[in-house]
Formats: sequence, structure tokens, C-alpha cells
Amino acid sequence: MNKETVLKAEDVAKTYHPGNVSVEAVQGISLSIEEGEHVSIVGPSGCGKSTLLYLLGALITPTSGRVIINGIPTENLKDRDLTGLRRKSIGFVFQQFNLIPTLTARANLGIATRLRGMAAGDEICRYLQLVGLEDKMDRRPNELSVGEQQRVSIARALVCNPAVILADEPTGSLDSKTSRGIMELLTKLNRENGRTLIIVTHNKKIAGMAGRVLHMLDGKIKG
Amino acid sequence: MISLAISNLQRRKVRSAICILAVALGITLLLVLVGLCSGVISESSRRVVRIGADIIVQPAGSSYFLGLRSGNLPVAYAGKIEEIDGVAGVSPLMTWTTTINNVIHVIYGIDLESFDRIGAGLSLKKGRYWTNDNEVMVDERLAKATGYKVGDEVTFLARPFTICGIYRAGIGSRVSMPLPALQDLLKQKDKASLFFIKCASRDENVVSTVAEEIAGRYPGLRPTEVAAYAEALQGNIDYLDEFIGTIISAALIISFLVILLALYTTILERTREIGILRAIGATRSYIMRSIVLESVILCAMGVLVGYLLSFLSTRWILFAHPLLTIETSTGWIVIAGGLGILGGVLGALYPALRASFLDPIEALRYE
Ligand SMILES: Nc1ncnc2c1ncn2[C@@H]1O[C@H](COP(=O)(O)OP(=O)(O)OP(=O)(O)O)[C@@H](O)[C@H]1O
Ligand SMILES: [Mg+2]
Repeated sequence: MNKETVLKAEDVAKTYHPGNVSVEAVQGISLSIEEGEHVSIVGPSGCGKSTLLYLLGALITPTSGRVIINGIPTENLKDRDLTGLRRKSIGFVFQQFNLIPTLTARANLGIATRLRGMAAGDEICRYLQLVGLEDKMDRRPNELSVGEQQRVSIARALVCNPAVILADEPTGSLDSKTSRGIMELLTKLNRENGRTLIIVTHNKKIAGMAGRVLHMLDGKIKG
Repeated sequence: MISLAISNLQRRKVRSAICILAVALGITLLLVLVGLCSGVISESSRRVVRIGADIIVQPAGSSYFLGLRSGNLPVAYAGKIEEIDGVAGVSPLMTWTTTINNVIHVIYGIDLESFDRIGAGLSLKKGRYWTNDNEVMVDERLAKATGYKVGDEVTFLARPFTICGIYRAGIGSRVSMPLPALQDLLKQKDKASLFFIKCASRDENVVSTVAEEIAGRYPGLRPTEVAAYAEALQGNIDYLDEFIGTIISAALIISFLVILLALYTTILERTREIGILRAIGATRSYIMRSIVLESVILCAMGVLVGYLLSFLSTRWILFAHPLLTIETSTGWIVIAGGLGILGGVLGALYPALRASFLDPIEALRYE
């Protein structure tokens, strides 16, 4: 069966310039990810996993090389078109669960759906239920535990029904029971709904659930 | 977007409140000062217009502010002007500006008999008209503001006078006295400051023909048709436009600066959230619009509070100074509101632009 390539990186590199040093966080990576794939990215801290994920999701522009999302090269897109493409195709779960502190869990999901023009009151409840927060929907982030905040941010990534889910250590701050629940949810979306799943993780067990594991070291992929 | 903007404004309540108050103060400043300016000018021109004359004749080159000059117009002209076709009556008037109890007043020296012929005259409310040169009359508004009663004594131009009567406010000056008495006081016997002229008909053509005739015969005189007086008076105040322009700019700049500063600090402390919004799919223009929206909400509230403050301070000023008039027109209310919001939108542009160009990931790394 010939599957579509949803994400493609062509020799992408990213160099940061903090102060007057330069950090080559990602150094010439090429890879293709097909529709419905489940990929894990593992590697030591600081090897460039998050950076690679941001590059794949077009949240940052590569210093060189290019990223192609759903067959569309992203390097020359205008902000509005690029944002539109990301909205349509990609759901992010960040390493630090980035919620808007003034808004309740429900409203945090609401912004994401409204940005996509979805009227999704029921969907919001359903996804907050899926991550086990049905009784905490109207709490603000500072009234939630760290793990609960992480679950809200997962629900926010899922509620828009993205074709590709990019998750940066989604279970990093969860206990093993909750983290198993989240992984079951993600793998179910992958297997049953054909969502493409890319997960950065330190957890060997979680990495092992993927169809393909990318090992990163010093900004490059090893084997 | 609105709920996001409102939740952001609620986060820093003191800052939002200060913004609202500052915008409100700008609006109040504008409405009260402009209202005071146009109120005082139009009230004083209305009082001249209501005298009922059709033409005012002054020496050429005089100010339309009556009372800035005493008399250098020989009263004898009156008889000659009366002979002109279409003239029904002429009344000489002497004006003088002085202070009574530290308040500036324009005093009219009136020839009652001819004054009655050129208009409705002074309509008596209490007491009687003067019978000698030591008596003066005041209008009801001054009487009410100061508590003057018939029989009281007032001192001005270093002389005591007795108030013999009180007339209806809204016509002429607030203090009137016999023409000969004022001429005497100013040592200007047989002189007047101006003539009020009543024409045989109110018809525009008749009035302007008479005015032209006067100007033609006596080049030293300048006739002004009363219908055009109010406008001429406003045009006479050289710095009025500049003054109003300055107040407008002040109101605009207050809104602009306060919003600029407030939103700028807001953006600095919200860098991270802006990154989140960008990362979950907000376009640059969405970020811009949401920040401008915040400013519009702030300014709109400021404008409303400003309307309330203007209303209260107008009441207060009129209570403390009953002789002042403040006229706030709908036009100016709309302009003031528009300026408050315009200033806010302009002030929001730079912070909004900056926010929209934040790199989402850089923003997310902010701690
Ligand atoms: N915005 C940035 N500015 C400067 N340097 C950065 C920036 N982001 C990342 N880096 C550097 O780039 C390298 C790769 O960072 P990255 O966050 O991708 O690592 P990581 O593999 O996700 O690490 P971890 O497992 O700890 O999350 C690190 O050396 C990091 O210090
Ligand atoms: Mg990372």
C-alpha cells in the first residue's frame, strides 16, 4: 500500500545564536514520515529533539534545508498560509505544557477550536473527559496539578482533530497510570483513526510502542 | 477573542483602571474646556442678539467683544443715522468692563427710552427702573448668584450704587445703569461705545441696505448685522482655534501615551502567552487584532467614564460659578469619544506590531 508522505525534512539544520556563540541544535537531518505512522524520537538531553519537532511542525524556520508538510514546501509561505497549514494539519503537545494562565481548561481548548473556526462545545467536553478532567473543566491552570495541566494541553492538541500529532515528552510529568492512559489514547488515535503520531520521549517503554524509533545524538539521527 | 481580551484586562486591574481613568481625564478636559469656551461665548453673544436690534454700529476696527472700549462715538451721530431710510430706531450704548466683588462684568450704560424702541427692552422682574444716576439694575442670574436684592448697595468704579430693580436674565449685560451716569464716570460726555439700530423691517434686504448705507456715509463706522454677530464674535477670538486644537491634542496624546505604555508592558509580561497563541494556530494578524481590541475596550470604558466625569465636573463648576455657562454639544461628545478611541488604537499599534512579530518558540522559552 502506497501511503502519502505527510512530513518531509530535506537536510534541515537549525543553528541558535544565544549571545555570541552558536549552537548547532539540528545538523542536516533528512527524513520522511508517512500518513498513519507512529514514530518516536529518543536521545540524550540537549541533542536537539525538541528543535527537530518544532522544525517538523514549522514552528521555527530552518537555518538551511526545508520542511514539506502535506506536499507543500513551507519555506516561502506567508505567515497566514503557514499558520493555516499548521492549524489544519498539526497538533502540538509541548514539553512545557503551555496553557494560557488567565483562561480555564475549557477556554484554553476553546481558543484552539475557535482559531480553526470550529464551534466545538461538545468536542471540548469530550476531549477533557478523555483525559480524565471532566470535573475540572472550569479551573484555571494554576488551580490544576502539573500532570493535569499536561493533560489539558494534550486535549487541546487533540480537540482540533489534527492529521499529525507532534508530542514533546507528553507523559514526562505524569505518573505511570495516567501516562499509560494518555499513551493508550494516543496509540488508539493512531491505530483506529489513522492519525500520524510523532513522540519525543525518554521513556524506553513508550518509545518501544512506536513503529519506528529515531535515535538522535548531537543534532543528528543515528540509525 | 473578546473573552481573551477581557480576561487579560482583568488580570492587571489596577493598570487597567489607571488607563481608563487617564483616558477619562482627557475626555473630561476636552469636554469641559470646550464646553466652557463655547458656552461662555455663545451665551454672551445670545444676550446681545436677544436685545432685539438689527444692526450694531461700532467705530471701525473695534472688537466684537462689547465692553473692551468705552466711548469715542459722538452720540450726535444717532440723530443722523435715524434719518436714513429704513431705520426705525437708534439707541446709543456705553459699555465698560470692571470688576464687582472680584468678578469681571461688562456694564451697559443705557438710554432707557431709546433702548425700548430698538428691542424688547429690559423686562422688569422686581423693583423699578432707575430714576436717578445713583441707581443701577442687575439681571436675575447675577442676583441669584450673588444674593443681591432690590435696595442693596454695590460698589464699582469706586462709587456706591443702589440696586433699584432686577430684570429678566438673557438680554444685554448683567449690570445696567443710566447712560449719562456712565458717561460721567468715564468722563466721556456725549459719547457712546456703539449704537443699536432697529430697522423698519426684519427683511434681510432692508437690513443689509441700511447697513451699507451707514457704512457708505460714515467710513469711520462699522455696522454689523446682528444675524451675523455670533459668528463675527467667534471669528474675533484670534486664538480660539489654537486653544481648542491644543486641548484636542492633549486629550489625544493622553490616550495615546497611556495605552502605549500600558500595552507595551503588557506585551513584555505576556510574551510567553503570545508564543502559545502563535503555536496553537494564531496568525500574526490575530495577535495584532486581539491587542488592538484590548485597547479599544479600555478606551471605550475610559470614554464612558469620561462622559460621566464631564457631567459631574460640569455640574460642579456651574454650582461653584453660577455665572459661567457650559454648553456641551452632541458633536463634541462624539468627537471626544472618537479621539479617546483613536488615541488608544494608535497607541496600541506599536505594541501590537511587536507582539505579532515575536518568534513563537523564543516567546515560549521566556520564563
Ligand atoms: N532558542 C534557543 N536559543 C539558544 N539555544 C537553544 C534554543 N533552543 C535550544 N537551544 C539549544 O539547542 C540544543 C538543543 O535543544 P533542544 O531543546 O532541541 O534539546 P532536547 O533534545 O529537546 O533536550 P531535552 O531532552 O532536554 O528537552 C541545546 O543545546 C539547547 O541549549
Ligand atoms: Mg526538549
